[in-house]
Amino acid sequence: MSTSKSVLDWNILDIRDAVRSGDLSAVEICQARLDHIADHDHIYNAMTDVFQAEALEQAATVDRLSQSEKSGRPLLGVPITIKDVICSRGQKTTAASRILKEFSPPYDATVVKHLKQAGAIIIGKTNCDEFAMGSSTEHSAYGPTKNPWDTERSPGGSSGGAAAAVAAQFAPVSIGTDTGGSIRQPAAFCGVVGLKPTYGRVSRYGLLAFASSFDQIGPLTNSVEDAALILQVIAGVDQADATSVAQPVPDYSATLTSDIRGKRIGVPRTMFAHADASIDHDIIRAYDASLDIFTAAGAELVDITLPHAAHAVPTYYLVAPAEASSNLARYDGVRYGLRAPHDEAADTNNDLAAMYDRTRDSGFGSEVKRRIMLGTYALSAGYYDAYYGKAQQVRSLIRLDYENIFNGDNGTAVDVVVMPTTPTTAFKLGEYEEDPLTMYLGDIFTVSANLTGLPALSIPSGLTSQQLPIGLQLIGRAFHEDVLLNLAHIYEQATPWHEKRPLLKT
Amino acid sequence: MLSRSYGRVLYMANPLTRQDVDRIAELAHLQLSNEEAELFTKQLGDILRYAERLQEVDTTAVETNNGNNKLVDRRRTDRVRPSLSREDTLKNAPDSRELTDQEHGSYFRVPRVIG
Repeated sequence: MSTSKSVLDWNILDIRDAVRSGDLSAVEICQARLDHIADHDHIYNAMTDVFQAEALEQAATVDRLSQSEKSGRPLLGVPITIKDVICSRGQKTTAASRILKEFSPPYDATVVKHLKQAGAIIIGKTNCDEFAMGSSTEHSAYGPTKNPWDTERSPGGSSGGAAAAVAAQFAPVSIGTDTGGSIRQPAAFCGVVGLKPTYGRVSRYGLLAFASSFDQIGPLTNSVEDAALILQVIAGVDQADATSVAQPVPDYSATLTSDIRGKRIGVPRTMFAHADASIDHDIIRAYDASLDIFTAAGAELVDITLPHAAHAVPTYYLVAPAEASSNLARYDGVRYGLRAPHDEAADTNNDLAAMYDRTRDSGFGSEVKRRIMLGTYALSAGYYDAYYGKAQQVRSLIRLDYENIFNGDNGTAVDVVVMPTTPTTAFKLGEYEEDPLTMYLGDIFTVSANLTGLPALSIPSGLTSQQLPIGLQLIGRAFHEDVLLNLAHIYEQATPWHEKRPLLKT
Repeated sequence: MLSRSYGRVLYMANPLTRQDVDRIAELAHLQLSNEEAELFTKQLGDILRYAERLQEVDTTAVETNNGNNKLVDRRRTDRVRPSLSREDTLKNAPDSRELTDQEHGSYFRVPRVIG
């Protein structure tokens, strides 16, 4: 345990060791975070709910464990926040939507179950774009989250509350979800680590579904080491999620410090010229500097091309909304959530169909409606082949691009592809309110990992002159999170960026 | 700025009419206000025009992607296991009725289905 740093700076191992040795109790550690949230969240609005009493109770239970029980729990006493689209039993889970305002899940998501069993303390739920649809956390029924680095700016999204909560040290770990970059983009905007595991690596049971062939759950943390410790706990097959894969879970911490000499890093520079969203100069500079760090550690750079990368955004924005339009059909005012009351004066029709339409119109926000509409159109008779069908074919081509790069014969294969996480740093709140398409274009670097299911990690890789964080993204082979974490850890050890913290307002 | 380079693709007429939007809203069970429907006509039109570029990609003989990671069907033993209790199931319903009558049980309540 480090005595020099504040308890708010403690990482997972600091906390676990302190609770095990009795140097500090889980209750004291939890209380410090709860106080910190109470002091600051009125500014940042990162939390949709804080479980004050429950968290302290859970922490007290952890403190009462026997010594042998304590040593068997890898996340002993670690305070964790959960994105408000992941169910935890009896704790309001709203997807930041009016339509689920009072929803109280009758069960824990599998990830929540694993975290609790590992000794973690769930201290609250974090804000996000409604049903995880958005890149700014502005589309929330709770109002926007503010970026801890600049309160006039967005923390990114959709896991903006999760990223802000880690950046502002509300908790060392937040659990987020990533359907088109929703962990990595806010991680980049807030200067934290964000990992989207391989599709199938982590169970989605208990996640409110957005786009089922894309959605994945993963951690946001202050360090690669902490991301590895969390993935260790949440990875694995689950009977309750048929898309989870029975692939062995390696020891992620064991290989963090492995030598990266000879590792081959794919550099898709031609993609930057094609990118719809032109890239900030600061981001290109940080990218070039990052490549130097890898080569200094002995990795090799390999120029690669991803011929279909420029089509990733339109492909994503046809397929994901199509899946969303189907998944969100369940919110109809019958089994859970809001039911819009019948207004006798305005409308005489009070049959079931009118109740559905009324409930969904008043319960969903504008971005969710836009995507349901887009997806319904892409799937509708006469347009299916031109939009959804075509996009699914292009998706196959994007997948083939990556397969060729990772599995190329005659010694051309690379171990990882490295690119900026985002083309810009955090944008101003309200900047894209009238122009959703331009906001979508900012997802150019993140959506491919979701279209292909590949694991991807964003790590802090610089600060602009305006003190805004920059993110670097590593994309790897399916189920090779260990390689991503290893390279990222080596990078982190050679750079100061993950240690930078925003100056908080009170 | 982000908007710089995509302007060039926005040359086609809006592929979407207000009538299309009204029809989709009906399919999606959304009762949109007039303002929303007008705004969506424009915004969805922008997005669809942008997506038109996919038509330029040659997808002859390309398989349709059907999800990720070449999933295999998994089987489990078919045995009776506990499920959510009736109480838990109805707890979040906006309107439900609990009956002590064993024959009728408890249920979700909805407005009249047939007019």
